[in-house]
Amino acid sequence: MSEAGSIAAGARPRSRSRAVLASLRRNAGFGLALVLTVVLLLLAIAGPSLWHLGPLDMDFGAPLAAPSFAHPMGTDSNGRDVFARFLAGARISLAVGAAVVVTGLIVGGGIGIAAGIGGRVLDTVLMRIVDALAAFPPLILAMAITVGLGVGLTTAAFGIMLSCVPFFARLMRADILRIRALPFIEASVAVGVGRWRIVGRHLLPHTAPTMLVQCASVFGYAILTLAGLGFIGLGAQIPEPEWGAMITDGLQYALTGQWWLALFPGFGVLAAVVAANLLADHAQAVLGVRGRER
Amino acid sequence: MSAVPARPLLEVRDLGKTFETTRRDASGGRETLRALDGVSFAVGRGRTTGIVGESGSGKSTAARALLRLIEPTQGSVTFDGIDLLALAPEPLRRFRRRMQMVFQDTTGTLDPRMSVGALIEEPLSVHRIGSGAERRAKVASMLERVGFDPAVARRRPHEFSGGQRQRIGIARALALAPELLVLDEPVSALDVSVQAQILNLLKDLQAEFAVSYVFIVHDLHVAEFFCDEIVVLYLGEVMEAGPSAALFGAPQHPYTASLVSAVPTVRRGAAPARRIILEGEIAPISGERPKGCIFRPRCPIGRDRALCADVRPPLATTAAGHAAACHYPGELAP
Repeated sequence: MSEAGSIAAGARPRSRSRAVLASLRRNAGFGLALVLTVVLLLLAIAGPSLWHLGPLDMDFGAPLAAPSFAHPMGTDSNGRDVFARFLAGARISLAVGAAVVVTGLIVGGGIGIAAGIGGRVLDTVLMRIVDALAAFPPLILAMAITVGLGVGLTTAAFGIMLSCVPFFARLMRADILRIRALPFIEASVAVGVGRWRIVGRHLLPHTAPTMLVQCASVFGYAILTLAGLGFIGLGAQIPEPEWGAMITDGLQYALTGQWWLALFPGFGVLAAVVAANLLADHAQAVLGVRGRER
Repeated sequence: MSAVPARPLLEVRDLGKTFETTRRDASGGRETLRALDGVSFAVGRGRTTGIVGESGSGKSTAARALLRLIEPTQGSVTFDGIDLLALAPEPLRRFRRRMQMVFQDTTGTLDPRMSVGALIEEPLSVHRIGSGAERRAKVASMLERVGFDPAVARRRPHEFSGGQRQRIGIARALALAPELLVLDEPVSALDVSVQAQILNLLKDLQAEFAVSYVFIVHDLHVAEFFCDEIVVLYLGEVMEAGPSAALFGAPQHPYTASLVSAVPTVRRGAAPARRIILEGEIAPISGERPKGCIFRPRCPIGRDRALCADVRPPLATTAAGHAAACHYPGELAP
């Protein structure tokens, strides 16, 4: 049994964190995504409390002021500081994105787990409900819910949450079914591992890579959809500092030369969505995840 | 009355497994596939029963059915007087402490996310054996017993070779000190040099742990070296069963005879044995089984005999002293 010694003494393969750093050096897109993510998070979390103006504070002396040191992104028609609104908008977007991902993961993931490990009847019932939900294009579903429940930021967020549940449910179920068929599950049964421990210790940990990629992907989707709903007037309403609504509000001044009103919130949406999708792509490549649904 | 003869640890009687396929037959029902039919054998305490046969003969199905990893559709399995097939899920789970399995696929059967130490500790913790510290001590001693430095407990299975992983699998299975270990082709995927190492380890461990083995194997050299008793399966039925030496020395069933004649020897000067070449190949039977002998289509001696076509030969004791399911036992000798 001399091979045992060589394993014990042999060099440890490179750790995962070092592999991540090495791939970061090779992958500029991932670096950009990380920088964007960190900057957006800082702006959203710390920004509003550090900036001296609030998103709803009006300065009637300076409506539609161009960007300056006092107002880095200018002001809108009511003299509200666009930078303060941009910061508040970042907070709203990231919060809605996070809320959609968390509820999607819990509700959709939960449905997927139940369908994947439950019997044929439960699987059929749950997945037909999910099919019914997924039969509507997600944006249409979100729009219908917003209109049905009353236009506003909260109902828009709720509509997006609901429209994301099928993504998580289907992907989780497929992943659970794939992992269930792997030989180490039968080996666990043979050892005498109980049903719930198999789910918790052997099934769920293996879904983590797939779900991580899915979360990043849906995060970007949620922010884009929220801005889209705000833009067509079905989400947040002015004066609420939501990026999509701000873009709509700003567009009417684009022709008269007040470009800063629509441009900066547009950059915000662009940065957040690009960051989320780059992170999802990179995680997908690094973790060797096959499909993602959306 | 004399003393009651020692009861075997495991008695498998008339075990059968029929799978439903996804295909529909003429009457609209699901086509069935009989993977295992009327298989009976026993395993004595501390002894080894080998199950041999080609791929598709039902060896692995038999192993999984007797452990209830798949549910048998007929027959009985008695373990130390306990009817295994009558156990409810939770009692069955607890009972698994006494019967464990070692797998052929060492890559897939060890959870890649778990460390070697966690893998060997898992059986102990799910059966609530010892405290955390006691379990870790047990893991270290099991690792040492199968030839590792206990420090490898922190490593992942993929850092090891096939033979090393099989030793991890054996340590995991024996950590509970089971009375029965089902070995499903434990060395088939390994290099010949590593095979011998694993087989010797298993032999040593059998004496040390007083554990009985059910050894699924297709390599007849390994079977002869390792097993006390042999059961020969063909299409899920027992063709011949008996003590290893008797069965390989004087095979009574034409299928066994042809298997034995097909084993190449490397001994210089040994007279080249007559090779019995079987025609056709093993083909699973769906739906109704033929009424005669299941081996008849490939049998060199029974293909044209009316008795073989009409009557299924029972497994009966032959003149050689062990059992064969053939109307003309011993007629075809290798």
